[in-house]
Amino acid sequence: MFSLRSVFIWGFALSAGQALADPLIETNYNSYGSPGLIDMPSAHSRPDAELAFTVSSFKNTRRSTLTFQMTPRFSGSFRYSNLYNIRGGTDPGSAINEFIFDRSFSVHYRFVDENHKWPAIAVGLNDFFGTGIYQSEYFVATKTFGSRFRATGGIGWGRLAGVGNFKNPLGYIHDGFFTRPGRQGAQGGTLEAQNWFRGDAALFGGMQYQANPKLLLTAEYSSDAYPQEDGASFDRKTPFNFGVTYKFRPNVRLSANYLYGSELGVQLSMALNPKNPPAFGGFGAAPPSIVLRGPKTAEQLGWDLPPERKPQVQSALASALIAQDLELQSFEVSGTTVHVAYVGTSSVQSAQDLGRVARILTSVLPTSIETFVLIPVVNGVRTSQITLQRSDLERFEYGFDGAWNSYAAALIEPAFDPVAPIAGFYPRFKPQIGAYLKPSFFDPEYPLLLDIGVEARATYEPVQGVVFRGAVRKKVIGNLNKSDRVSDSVLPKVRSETNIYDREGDPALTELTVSAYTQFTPDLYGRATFGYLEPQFGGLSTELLWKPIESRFAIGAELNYVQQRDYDQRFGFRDYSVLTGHVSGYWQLANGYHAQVDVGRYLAEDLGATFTLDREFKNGWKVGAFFTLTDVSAEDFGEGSFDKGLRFSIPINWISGEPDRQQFATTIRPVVRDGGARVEMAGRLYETVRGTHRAGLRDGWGRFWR
Amino acid sequence: MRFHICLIGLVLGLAACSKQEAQDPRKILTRARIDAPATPLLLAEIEEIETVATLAKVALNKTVETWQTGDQVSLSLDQGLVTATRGLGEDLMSADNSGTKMMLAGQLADQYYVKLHSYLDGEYQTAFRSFQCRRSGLRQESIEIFERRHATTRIEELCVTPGYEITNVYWQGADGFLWKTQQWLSPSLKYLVTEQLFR
Repeated sequence: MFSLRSVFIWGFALSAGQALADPLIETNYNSYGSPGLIDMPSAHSRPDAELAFTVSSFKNTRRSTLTFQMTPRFSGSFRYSNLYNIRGGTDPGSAINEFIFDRSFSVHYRFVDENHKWPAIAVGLNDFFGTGIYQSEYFVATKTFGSRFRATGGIGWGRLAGVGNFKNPLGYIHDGFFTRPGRQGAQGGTLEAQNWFRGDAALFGGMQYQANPKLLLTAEYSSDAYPQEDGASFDRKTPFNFGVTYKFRPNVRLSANYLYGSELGVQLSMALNPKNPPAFGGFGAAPPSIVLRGPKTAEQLGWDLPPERKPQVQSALASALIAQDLELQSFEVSGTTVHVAYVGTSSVQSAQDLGRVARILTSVLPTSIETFVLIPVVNGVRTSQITLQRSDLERFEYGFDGAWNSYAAALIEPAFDPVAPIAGFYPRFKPQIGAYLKPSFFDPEYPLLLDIGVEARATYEPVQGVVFRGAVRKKVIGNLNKSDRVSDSVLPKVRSETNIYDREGDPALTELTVSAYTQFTPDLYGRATFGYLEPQFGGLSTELLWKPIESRFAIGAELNYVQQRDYDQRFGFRDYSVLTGHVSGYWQLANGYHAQVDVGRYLAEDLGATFTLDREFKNGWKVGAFFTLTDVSAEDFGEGSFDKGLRFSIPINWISGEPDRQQFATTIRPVVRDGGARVEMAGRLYETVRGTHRAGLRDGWGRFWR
Repeated sequence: MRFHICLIGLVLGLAACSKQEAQDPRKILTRARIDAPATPLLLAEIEEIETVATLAKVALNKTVETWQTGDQVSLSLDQGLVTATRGLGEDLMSADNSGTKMMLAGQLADQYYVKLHSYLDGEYQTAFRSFQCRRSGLRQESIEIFERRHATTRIEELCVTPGYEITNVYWQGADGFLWKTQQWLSPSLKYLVTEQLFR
């Protein structure tokens, strides 16, 4: 019989399904890579966390933009433009440059959501610290009608006030808004805030129609007069643009546009979203199963592990761990408790590793052993110890809420129980050979350079806590050597000759170090590293890190004395040496962001601070931005005025779906100069420990039973 | 396709699993071959990813049996009801089938009950899906699994949750044993069909 309650539930389920239906029309990327129409912005945002690459091209203009939807409301773009036959200034008499590269940043912030009454409204800044060619600001509103039609209207300043411009309405609030003072920084990289929303304003707008799920039609009225391009790189005849966008795949869109009554343009945008792993939870092998103890045997037998049986159990355990790509470092049984240390990693897979080690133990240990103390060892440091009860594991394996139950029952503590490594574990030698990929983005002359080659790498640990690391690279194919620009830096050339290192280091000894790791107290870790720390510097590096296991904060201090290495990256050094070091604060915010501040002395002897904000996804993706301000003047720094950039870290298992604990990390700077540069070395303490501390394990605990 | 069609060579004494030449085990298996080793064997098919495989029983935790393919994809069945999968991509991490168990035992007639699934979301966090279910069909049906006939009751279960409406089907023997089932796993895998080859 249908009860009233069930009718209600059905009705709710059906109507909820309908209410969730989004309008058919989708927000597109414009030719600047911002959410928008064709050249003009619009107010809606792309889906949270989407990372997009947009290339748009028409006569004498090509823009390549990387855009990240940092929050559901806020997106940021970094753009690289190739501009041909463009005037040096907005004055029609200005000299025409045959070719320039231009780098620019944009931000877009939606501060009003669309509802049945109100349009979505956003504010944006373009080119707010580049060289200023695209400098503009806007407010824009977009309203959806039905499910297929959208209208957009906005007001723009700067470059967006080129057509039909009028006196700035904001001037009636304050006189200062009537005039736009113009650019001040000669090197780019200054905020130029004195210009924002100042000078004349103009209106722009457009309409979009989603003809079918794949086809989007757009018409716009552009308030951009192309003052530096009109009559030089192309002829702008009307303010109207028309475009057709076809969605080939959910994340790939191609547009054809008819621009300004004279030119045809094309645009391709490709997107991916860190929140949508192509392989979901992955295709890695199923875990070993829990082996249940018979209901009475424990009491009946009451035996612990007799010494003569220990080697047999240990070898069964060691080989079962190898099957999970883990290594047994230590194994001790006392009474009903077992301590097992294994070589693990500080990664999103740390909790999955724990779950697998625990299940293996149920299949090799005598039934009387109830308490499992598991200790991951990373870089020779026992970063934490996790205590699990065998009967909990037996109970929770197929429990509906087994992941949360097992997390709640786990005791996560600093690793203070003394356990000796198993006989023969040290010395430990791990050679590795593989391919490497080294990209260089946005070199002023070559937007993308790439070397691919072979890397031989090895670690050697004579005793616990001492790690020798070495790596040699031999390029197989690539074009990093094409960059032959000569550094014009007035500072010590600590990074601006990176292109020479790339060119001459073939083969290159990229790393050859010995490090000692120690844990002074449960919360205080130490490291000392000596040798060729990185491709360009060698010397001595020391570090202390305070990171309580429960804490989302950490404080570190690093002091290095380094000397610049020879370009060929063999054993020689150049004349330049420097004492450099930082005090660092790390804060893992609860909402998926991570903040870091480093204050200290940089490689070019400049003093200052670096501010980094990363969005950290619990699946291991990181997307972040940083900038460094030091006592080097904008003029001495050169192009860009100060060091800044974006950094990405992508877990390999996210891409492949196969078990893999490695990350691919890269940093993109609009320009590499010498101010604000730090030593870039492997094996620093913070990333060594935090994946196996409370917050790291909790974020990965969904994989405990994976 | 990452979930390779694969046979438990050791159990059946057939050619070992080959990832290159995936074969449909239904073309090779015969009743004689199934019965020879006298070991329980499960046939599983996921049409959405064009996969068929035979699985051997590898573990038992109370009422949950875990079955595994040669290339280490596992299915955990609680009295025939799928409780977990591993290695399929968008895996079912856990399930609460207590309502379905009662329905199959004939205790619920046409009443509604809840079925719960958990899975890993895009950031590998545990997420839950809750279905409202009811029995939506019941009839006698004789099915054949590799030359052996089974008289069964074919029971349909309709489950809804915002965005999804699914129909699970159970072919239940007179003693309650589920000879064959069709059960929904996740949006990208859709339905898993299981057949008990040897009991």
